[in-house]
Amino acid sequence: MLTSRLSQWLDAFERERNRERGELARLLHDEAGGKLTAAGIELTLLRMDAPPALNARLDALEQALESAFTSVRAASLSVAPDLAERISLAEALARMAEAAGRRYNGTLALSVNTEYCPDSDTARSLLRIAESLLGYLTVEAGATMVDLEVDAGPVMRVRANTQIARAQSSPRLGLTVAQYWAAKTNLRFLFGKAPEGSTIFLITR
Amino acid sequence: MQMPCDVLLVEDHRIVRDGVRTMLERAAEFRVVGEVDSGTEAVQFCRKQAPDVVVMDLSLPGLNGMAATEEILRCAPATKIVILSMYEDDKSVIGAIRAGARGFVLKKASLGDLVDALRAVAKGGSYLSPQVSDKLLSRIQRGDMETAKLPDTLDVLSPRELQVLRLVAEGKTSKDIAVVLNLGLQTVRSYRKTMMKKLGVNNVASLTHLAMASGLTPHSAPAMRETATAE
Repeated sequence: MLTSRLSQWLDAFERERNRERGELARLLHDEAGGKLTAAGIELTLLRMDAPPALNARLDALEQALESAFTSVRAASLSVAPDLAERISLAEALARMAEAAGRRYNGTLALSVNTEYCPDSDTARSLLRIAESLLGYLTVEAGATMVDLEVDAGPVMRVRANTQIARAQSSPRLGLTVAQYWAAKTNLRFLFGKAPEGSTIFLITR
Repeated sequence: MQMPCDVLLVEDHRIVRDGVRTMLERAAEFRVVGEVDSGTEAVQFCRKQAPDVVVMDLSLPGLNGMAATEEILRCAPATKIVILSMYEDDKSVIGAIRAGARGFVLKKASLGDLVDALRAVAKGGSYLSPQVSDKLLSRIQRGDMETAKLPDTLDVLSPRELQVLRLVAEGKTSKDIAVVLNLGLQTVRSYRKTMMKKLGVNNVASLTHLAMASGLTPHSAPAMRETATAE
């Protein structure tokens, strides 16, 4: 159960996090995106004037530029505070898991019902819960296997091969943030020991 | 000889505006009649001059491209809007189409299709960049197009009230909204009161929260922050 003082602190923490991420998304869009677009236009104009002999080199340039566009677009979208609303929850979770997987040496499995489209509050909350919980389990709690499952309801099940006792004794910012988001959107947040030294988290209505 | 098609460029990066203008100047059928860098200025321009086509960025300071599109179509219904956007996410594409845009062009390494889009739209057709139409088709095939539908809670609001609500949620004060929508201050205040009554909320923060929860604003987090200090 979160104390009101802790909830207030987490409100401020999440607001600041969102502000920073929003600012980063805006910077990527405005600074990098604007300049890349201008370069794209120049390239298009150059292609109109260039002799056919230059086509292969212009193609190579276009390909490199397009790759930069893709990276900036992905980076900007991944830090957008409203990611789950801008793309589907399933896609947002897949992106999040992919990013987490790149920094993680263990096994991360994700299974999401792609037909489940919750309202934007629930989607945002589920994404944040998954993100915080994964951060906690893979970094702080030292789990080497994490299974995350999301289904309609909503029902989110997370299974990790780490003991709950170990989880309780470590610093638990990620876990607390996940609980905070569940409480904020009236979701129940349960966790307990499971066979073979693992822990199961269940987030549901 | 056919009259050239009058185009307004709405983009907050001058370097991009310059490039688009140069591209359009090469095509004899277009004439750039104005360039502005905000949604509010775009609405004011269209109210006076009603250009044939507007090339509109989505992410603009102040009134964003989606809200500006809706308002332009209200005051200049014959004007056609082509969105030029960095993003092709569902919310941007579907939101722009619902707002009334006739074209959606993705900013990318080759912008040759912008001219194709303007040609198609100027002739009364519509145009989506291939990347955008592919995504949209996939969504239709997956059958999840209904996610962007407004929730039933907002069904009670008129189109004008929805427009005011979107601006409230973006942190605009009644005075700002009056300017943007060309309405009297008292009229905007009445809209706000009516909406609160219809939606059963008694303060602006709840109204904003409802709007954001319904996916009405594209940049909900900053909007929430701004609204806390709005009147």
